[in-house]
Amino acid sequence: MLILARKTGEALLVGDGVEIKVVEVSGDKVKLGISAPSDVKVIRKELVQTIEQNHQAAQMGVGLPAIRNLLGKLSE
Amino acid sequence: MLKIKTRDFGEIEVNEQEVIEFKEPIFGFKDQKKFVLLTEDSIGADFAWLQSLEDETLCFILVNPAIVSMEYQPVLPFNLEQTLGSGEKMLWLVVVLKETLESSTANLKSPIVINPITRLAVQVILDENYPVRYPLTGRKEGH
Repeated sequence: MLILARKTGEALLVGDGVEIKVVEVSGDKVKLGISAPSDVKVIRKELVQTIEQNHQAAQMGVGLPAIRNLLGKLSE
Repeated sequence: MLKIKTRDFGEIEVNEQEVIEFKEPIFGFKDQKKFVLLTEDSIGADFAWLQSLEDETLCFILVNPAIVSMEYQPVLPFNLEQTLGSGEKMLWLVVVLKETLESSTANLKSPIVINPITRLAVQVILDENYPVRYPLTGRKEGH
C-alpha cells in the first residue's frame, strides 16, 4: 500500500481524471473532496460491504428447519 | 387483517398496524419498502424474520444485538429522530446464516433501526468502527 502525507488543501491524482483533495481534518476524521468522471463510481467501502452482507443474508437455501436449529443453539 | 405470503411460514395473516415501512431502502434492496417483523415462539423474541410484503422470497433473519455482543451501544445518527419520529428505537442486526453457527455472522456496522410507535425503519451505517461481519457466537465465545 502506498502511504502519502497530505495537508489540508493538498490533493492526489489517481489515474486519469480522478482527484482526491483533503478538505478538512479534525480529530480522527478527514473530509475528502473527490472529483471523478461520471463513469467512475465513488462509494464508501462499508456501504459496499453492507450491500454484500445484505445480499448474502437474503439468500435462500438454508430453510426453516436449519434456521430453527441454528438459532435454537444460539439462544441456549 | 392482512393476508401475506412468507418465505418460511407460508401464508399468514398479520395486523395492518404491524407493517413496517422503510423510509430509506435496506441497502441493496431499493424496491422493497414494506416489511413485517415475525417471531417464533420456539426460538424466542431475540430473533426475528424481517419479511418483505412486496416479495415473498425476500426475508432477513435479524438478531437482538445483546445476543451477539455485550458491548454494543452504538451512537445513532442524530437525524434519525427526524426520519423515524421520536421515542425509543429498536435495534436489530442482519444475520448471515451459514451451515454452522460458528461461520455465521451479524452486521454490527449497519443495524436496522425501527421506531415501534411510528412503524418506520431504516438501515444505518454507523460512524463508529464496528465490524460488518461479526461472529454470531461472539458473545458465547466471551467477547
